[in-house]
Amino acid sequence: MEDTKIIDLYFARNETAITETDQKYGTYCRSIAWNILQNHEDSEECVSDTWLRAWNAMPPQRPRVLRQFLAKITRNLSLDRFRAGHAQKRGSGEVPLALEELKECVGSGDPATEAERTLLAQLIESFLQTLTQRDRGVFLRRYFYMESRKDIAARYGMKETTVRLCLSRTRQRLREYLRKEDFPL
Amino acid sequence: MNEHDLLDAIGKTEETMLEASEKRHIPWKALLTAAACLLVILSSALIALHPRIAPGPNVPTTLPGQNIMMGLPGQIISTEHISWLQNSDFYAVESDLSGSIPGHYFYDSQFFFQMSVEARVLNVLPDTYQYPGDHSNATKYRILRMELLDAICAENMPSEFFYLLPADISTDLSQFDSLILTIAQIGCENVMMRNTDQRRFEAFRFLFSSGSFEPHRGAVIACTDEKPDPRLWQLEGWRDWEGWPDTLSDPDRYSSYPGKRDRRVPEIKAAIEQGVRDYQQKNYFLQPNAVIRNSQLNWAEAQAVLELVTPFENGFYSVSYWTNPRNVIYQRFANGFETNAYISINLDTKEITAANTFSDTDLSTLPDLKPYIASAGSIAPPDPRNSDRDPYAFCGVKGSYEKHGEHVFGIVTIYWGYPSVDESEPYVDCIVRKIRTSSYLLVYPNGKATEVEDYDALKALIEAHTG
Repeated sequence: MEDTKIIDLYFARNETAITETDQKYGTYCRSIAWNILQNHEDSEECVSDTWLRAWNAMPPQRPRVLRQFLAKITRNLSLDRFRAGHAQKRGSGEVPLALEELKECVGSGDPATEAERTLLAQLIESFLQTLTQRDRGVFLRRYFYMESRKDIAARYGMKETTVRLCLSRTRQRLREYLRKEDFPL
Repeated sequence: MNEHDLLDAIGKTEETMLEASEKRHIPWKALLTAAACLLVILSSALIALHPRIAPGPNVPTTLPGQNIMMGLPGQIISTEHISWLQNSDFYAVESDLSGSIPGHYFYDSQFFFQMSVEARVLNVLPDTYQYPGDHSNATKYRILRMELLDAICAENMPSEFFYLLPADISTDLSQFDSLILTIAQIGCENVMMRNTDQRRFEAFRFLFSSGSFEPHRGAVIACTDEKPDPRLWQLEGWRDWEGWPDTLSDPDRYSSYPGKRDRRVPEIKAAIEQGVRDYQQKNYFLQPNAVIRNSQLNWAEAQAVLELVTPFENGFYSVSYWTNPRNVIYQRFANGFETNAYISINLDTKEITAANTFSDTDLSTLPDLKPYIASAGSIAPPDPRNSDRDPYAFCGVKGSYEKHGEHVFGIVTIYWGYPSVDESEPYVDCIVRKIRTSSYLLVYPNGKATEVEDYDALKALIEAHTG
């Protein structure tokens, strides 16, 4: 079913919307959750919660791209669950590695204020637009979708070392960008 | 600032940017795509030159006549809430309601920086309503007739409008001087709601809601003497969400929520306006008929469709408006049930598509869905806290008609769900967390029906009958 028709079902409060969403995007969202949680039960819970969040969000929201709209919900729910379960220890999966890498950009200080978080999201958005399509894609595959460097390399037809270099360079550029924008690091 | 904040900020990336990141970088595909485009262009040129092939919109000049109001006993469509737009100065600006999750979303509240108005309650309609597809015992609403006092961020709002609230919270809101509401337009116009008390469908020209099942979580700011009135939180259902009234008084929490206790109405409105500017949430009211009447979109075929779909003259149509692509879609209803017949107008390409049109014969031979819906609707959902309940609980039933080729079918959809057993969650409706499924009845013109267990089986059965 086309995305526009699925969204129409949400707006009509037709519960088939959830069945259709699960049919079309269930596997996709489960893979996102799995990348972060590495656990089937937790991944299933997050995907179920994603459908509930989507139901509550539409209306009034009408996403431009349904697939990515759902991806964001799943990704953020999965990260919340990851943090709740891994507060005191390191686990497997890509999230701990990704966090270590991102420390290069912003250090490891106190949590940001709400205003800082809002500003940071806007700066990230504008920073991403300064990147080439490939570099942007590699960055998002790593830090949004939590894919491994190996999977990213396969996706883009690159060597793994090239992916590592690309990410390192982008993180340096991000740090410089935030400094230039006088963002408190 | 730490790495977790950065990870969260990356999580707010806009959807179109994420979509682009999913595309694989394989240059040779561009060559194939270019070749395919060239082929299409060449084919189109051949079609345009061929005298016997006529491209362009394919809209029938007439559609079948008056809707036949059968259906459940007493089920009629009421027009009492529709006032036809007569004012030619009433124009619309196109709306962009799409976009990423609002940049400022209060996790614990249902306030969005979107359309916002100040209004007062004129009266509360006496009956309870549900969406047409929902025949379950849950998810009911009351409808309030509101008078607009100030369109804070809602251009071209009508002076009166209807507003939806869940039926399980108090609607005794006329005691307040005014209500500041964050609202979302439901559909576009002629929104059909089922009156569960009068057992009929009613069409509301324009209908709004807070956009959530929980408007008491901040989507309504009741005001008296130009400041938020805490008496709102004493009303039945509104006080159920503990903590929120204290949050409003706490200067350190959610400081950017517009309705904080220490503010006066002008400051609340200014905060809303600033929020909408900051997060670039556009907030226009949608009126597709007026959009079509816009001089930039004034072409003959669109006007012909507009004449055709004027409700209750050529059947009943509901209207919705899409932003991506920019389409106006008129969906046909028959006997009070939705059908798969529609007319779509692309506002950019001017392409008009009429699909699955029901003929006079089709309409006069529609199968009767009453017995099947009635028998399914007599099953009450069990209390999910009953430990020996079935794994699947009946959630609701819906009727519709579909035309496939020359064949018309009735479809009865029965929703099954596994209600949450979390005691902290009220059993509000059948939006389940774990397992969901539907079963179907395909009803033939002779009134007989075949039951199938899932959607794939339904599609296969329809294909088997239509060849």
